[in-house]
Amino acid sequence: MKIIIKPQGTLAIYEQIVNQLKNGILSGELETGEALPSIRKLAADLQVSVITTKRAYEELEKEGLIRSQAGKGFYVCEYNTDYLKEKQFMMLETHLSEVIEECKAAGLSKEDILEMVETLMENN
Amino acid sequence: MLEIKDLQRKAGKFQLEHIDFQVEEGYLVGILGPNGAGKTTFFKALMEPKKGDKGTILWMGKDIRKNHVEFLGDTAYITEDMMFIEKLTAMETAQMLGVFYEHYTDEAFEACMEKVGVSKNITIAGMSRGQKIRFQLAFGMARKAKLYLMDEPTAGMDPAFRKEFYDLLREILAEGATVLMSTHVQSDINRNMDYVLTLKEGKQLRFQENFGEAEEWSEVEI
Repeated sequence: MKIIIKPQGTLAIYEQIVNQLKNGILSGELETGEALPSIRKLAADLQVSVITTKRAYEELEKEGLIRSQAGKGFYVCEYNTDYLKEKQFMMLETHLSEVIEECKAAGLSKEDILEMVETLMENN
Repeated sequence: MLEIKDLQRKAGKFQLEHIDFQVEEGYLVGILGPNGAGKTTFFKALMEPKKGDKGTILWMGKDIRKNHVEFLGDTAYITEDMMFIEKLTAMETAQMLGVFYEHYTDEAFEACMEKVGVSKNITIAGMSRGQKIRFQLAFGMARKAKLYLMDEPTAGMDPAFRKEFYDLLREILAEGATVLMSTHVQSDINRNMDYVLTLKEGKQLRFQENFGEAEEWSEVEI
């Protein structure tokens, strides 16, 4: 895949790298297990600072899309789709818990809440 | 690693105060500030320590003031004001100075001059400003310097020189050297620097990571 750095007022260079690599991974253009260029090589090729490419890889690593192997470099994660789903579930659970707490605070019973959910889902 | 801890230095009426940061091998630090901010005084505190300087400067964990000869062996100070013998060629100058450096060899110097694109047979007097900077860079590379201190190396240089210059720096950095360079050109900072130390009236305003904004297109196939 191609990474392109464009003069864009709002996005820092590392954000542009993160976005493009993320798209490449989610679209499958970068395959699981594929090796990424080293931090220094990518910096030299894009003519940007090392701290920029390092930050980009760190962001992707935090999101579980790539992993670093000591002394070897960075690879696209094998289980990234599962991981992303799991992450999404966790986020939804958090949202739901908040809603449930609010419902309880408003004095709704478990039955009331379930009924509300059922009605809403039917309407959708 | 270079560690500067609460460095203070007086130079006449000028006072450099509370400089405090650290940088690991392989990174480029830009020192930004207007004339009179303390950029050159900062370099002098490393290259020519004197009584009355306060704070600590550690290079690879060692106090540079107690191990100054060793520190100078690792360090290349590159400035336009460097005094050389004008009638000597680059090669003759390197041979003369190389004696003082453990790792220097003529072969390495010749290869480095080729890399920076300056003839080894040109005299110091015949060099342009840019050639003088590149010659000093080549000499530093030839003697395997690990710390490069550069005082305004890109001042007055055109974009083509800058691009080549940063390509060379990236090679040096990839080999594990540390580079500190002063500049007042914002576009030098944007894309190239890993950290920026901002000085104002002798004080450290900030030291921070630099996540630059793009000014020009670039692309790579991975």
